[in-house]
Amino acid sequence: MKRVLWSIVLAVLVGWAIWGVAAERTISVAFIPQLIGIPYFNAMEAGGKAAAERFGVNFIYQGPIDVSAPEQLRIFDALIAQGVDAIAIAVLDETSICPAMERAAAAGLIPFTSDSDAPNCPARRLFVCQALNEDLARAIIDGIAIRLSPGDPYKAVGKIAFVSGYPTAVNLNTWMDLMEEYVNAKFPGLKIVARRYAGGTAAEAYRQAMDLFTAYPDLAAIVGVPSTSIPGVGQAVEDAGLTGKIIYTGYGSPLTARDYIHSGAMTFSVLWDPWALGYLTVWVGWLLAQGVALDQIPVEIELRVPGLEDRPEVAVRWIPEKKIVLLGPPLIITKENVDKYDF
Amino acid sequence: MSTSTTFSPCEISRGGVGDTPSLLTMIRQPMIRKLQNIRPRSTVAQKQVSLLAVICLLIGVFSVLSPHFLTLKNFQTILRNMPELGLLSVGMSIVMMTGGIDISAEAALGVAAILVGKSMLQGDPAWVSALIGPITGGILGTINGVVVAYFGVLPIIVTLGAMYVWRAVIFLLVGARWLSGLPRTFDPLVKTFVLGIPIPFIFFLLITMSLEFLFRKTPFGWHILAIGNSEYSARLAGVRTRRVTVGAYALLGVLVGIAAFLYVGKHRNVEMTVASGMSLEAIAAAVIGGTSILGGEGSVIGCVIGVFFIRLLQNGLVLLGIPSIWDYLVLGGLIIAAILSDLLYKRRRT
Amino acid sequence: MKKISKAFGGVIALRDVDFRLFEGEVVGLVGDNGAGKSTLIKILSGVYIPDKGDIYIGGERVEFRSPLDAWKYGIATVYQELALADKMNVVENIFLGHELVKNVLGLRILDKRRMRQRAGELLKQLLIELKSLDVPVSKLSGGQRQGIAICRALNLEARVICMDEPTASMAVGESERILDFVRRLREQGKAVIFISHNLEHVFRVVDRLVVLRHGRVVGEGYVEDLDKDTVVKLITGVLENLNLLGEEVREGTTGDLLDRNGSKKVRR
Repeated sequence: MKRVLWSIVLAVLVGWAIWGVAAERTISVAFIPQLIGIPYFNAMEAGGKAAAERFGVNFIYQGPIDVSAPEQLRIFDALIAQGVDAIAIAVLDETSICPAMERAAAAGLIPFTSDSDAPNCPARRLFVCQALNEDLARAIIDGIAIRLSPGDPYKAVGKIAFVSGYPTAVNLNTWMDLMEEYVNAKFPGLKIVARRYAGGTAAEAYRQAMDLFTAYPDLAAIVGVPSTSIPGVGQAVEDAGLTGKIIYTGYGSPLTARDYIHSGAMTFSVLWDPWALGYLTVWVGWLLAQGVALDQIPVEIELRVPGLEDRPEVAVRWIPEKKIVLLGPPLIITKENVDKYDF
Repeated sequence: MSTSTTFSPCEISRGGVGDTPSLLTMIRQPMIRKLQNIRPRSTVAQKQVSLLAVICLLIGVFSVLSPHFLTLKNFQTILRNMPELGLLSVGMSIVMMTGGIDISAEAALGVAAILVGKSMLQGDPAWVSALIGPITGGILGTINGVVVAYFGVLPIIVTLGAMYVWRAVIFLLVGARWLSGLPRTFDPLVKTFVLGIPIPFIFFLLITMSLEFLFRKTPFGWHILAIGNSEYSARLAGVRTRRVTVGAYALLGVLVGIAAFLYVGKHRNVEMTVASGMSLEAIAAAVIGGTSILGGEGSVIGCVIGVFFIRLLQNGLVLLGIPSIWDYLVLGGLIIAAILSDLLYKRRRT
Repeated sequence: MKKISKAFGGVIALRDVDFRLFEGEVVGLVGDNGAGKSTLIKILSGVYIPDKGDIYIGGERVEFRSPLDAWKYGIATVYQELALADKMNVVENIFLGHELVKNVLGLRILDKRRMRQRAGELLKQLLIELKSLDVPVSKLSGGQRQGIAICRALNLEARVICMDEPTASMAVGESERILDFVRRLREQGKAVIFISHNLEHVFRVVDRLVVLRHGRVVGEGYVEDLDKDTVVKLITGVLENLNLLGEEVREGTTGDLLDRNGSKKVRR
């Protein structure tokens, strides 16, 4: 009941905002990606532009040309000086960006995060989150289990191996830990037999995967954890003659995975839709700038974002405990939909 | 049931037999040639023999510990993973014999790989795409060589700088957008086996053998070694040291370019971080194969053994189910051990 | 060599040095450490390029940019530092930079058999005995190493042979052989520049002496006209300057390094 009430309140506020925009000045929303020029953030930029057009927002997209926290900070400060209404950032380094967020808040700007969070920073109003790590981990394991045992996934039996990137990558390690926890909790027949680090090259992922196939001839599934591992493992599946005989999955962008998904070497890939994430980011920024205090809503509610209704796998929710706006469940990429994405 | 086909890398011929330590005292009879038929093994050959012994030992240990190790398929996999690193290592050993080093080789491989990939995407004829690799590599190598030889800057500084430059070029060329899903143009070449041996490996072996020939049988080899002993002395002796040095770096570049072509042909993908860490692996393989980090001695064919050793060890680690984090420790430890033993050996001899 | 000057940074190694050499003549170059002897030799052999001054051979002005250029004009040098590649063997060292090759299908292939044979002959000429030609030269004695450096110069069939301290690390027997050898080179009509600290050796082998001090020529004369004491005085600066040569030699019109006419005049 409370939830419904809040939803109505919000709908009224959103309506007011749309009307208010027409009457008043143009809102400007900025987004700072971790790196410009890569397909992933290009897709976010495109989504952001689409939202900006729809809601009449002045969208500013600026980021470092190299993965550089100091450069991000410099851009952030420049945007404060410029005086935008809301400013979103895909955080590279929480400790350095947090004071800047406080400065922004003090100057009357609305700082929030998107794509990558700074959870311990009080000034950050909320986090626009692409997918929960738990959901990402489950999507992989569920996908493997249902293919191994279509009748009852929890009875699936088989060995799974991970080919990760650099051993220092926190997000990759988190995903692997969560996958392992989920397997141990729910799937007695599944077993994670190896966790290999291939650094950042296709060649290394290829070598590690080939050796894994030799070491575990009965391997049921192999997971290429970062995008960098996707082509190497895919090539290894093909070269070892395991296309169609092994489940190959991972967190690969459609561009990287496309070739192997089409050849059948890769079964499915799990990620999210950066276009929708960019769209959502601008929408959230626009709302906040209008004075719609989304972050003050005390209950978990669904948010209907105009323009995202037709995107699959998008189910935007506000989760007050974590102060996040969640895009939805992970995007499952298969032969059927891989050609629809360009990131 | 795994096949019982065995491989015996211990039979790989001992290459690089040159010359020797042995006590030499001046004898006062006019007999110069009398004892010439005694040709003691060189230090390089000694290192290689002990390396082969270690390889045999490893093969023994791995065979006992993993039922999947001693199979034809596994050794095919090892051979498949050798050519790119092998070519880099062979070139690197030649540069190292001049007393130089090339940290930028991996980044040069990246630049060449991108150009090869772009050419494939454009639909250029296969031979054009194939040639772009060595040509690009050759140009980049020559630039390094010229700066080292004519401007007298330390090779490690020049090539470290070059690495950053080439990496930036990679970024500019791909704009962080990988080349993915390249056409399968070179599949027949890189995916085929002849008598159970992958073609790229045969290719690598042929190149190495012709370089070994070049190195042992033409003045080029002597000049390289002489420069590594002392560039100044070599120049006084009438060696065109600058030209030879540039030649060594250019040759490495060409080999890097060939490796780039094989890389792209095999993986059909060029990522931003392509080949990162490969220069160090190549240096390690060269040192393990008998090339001195201080220059002046070494072996081209030894790199084949060095690369085989590294790949064998990495393969064994996976097959034995040893946690992946040990890979870094083992490879790092190996590099340190190889260089230390090289340096200690020098000290003991002199 | 006329008016040769060379400075390294602020240090002037040679100042307007004139130096002349004739066929079939052994000239001794003496002076204290740092007097400029080695620098002069290195200019003559193309290692250094002089700041000022010219080199003439048979009346023709030449410019050396590398040791290889000097070698093309028939000038071979045994450097004080020997310029050997320590980890390489005897044969490789003797032929380094001037390998004997055979042409196989357009490739220049090392002719190791011929080099080995020739190395044997060269060593024999110098009466240097080695256990094996395959040892790295770092394993050899100082004398043997010097022998190998001399073999390298001899192999070049040069007209002029510069020897910078060829007897420095040799045992008595060995240096005797070198001195004999220098005499034989003179008999063959070659010109030899002999640098040594050992005046005993110098006096036994050279025809003419040139004394350098602080980069200048301070004394010149035929051995017959000089004695050790005088030379020592010149080297140490007790005696300022001494020229015992005829004007026609000192102020030779051409300044030639090698001059057949000149050599006839001078030879006695």
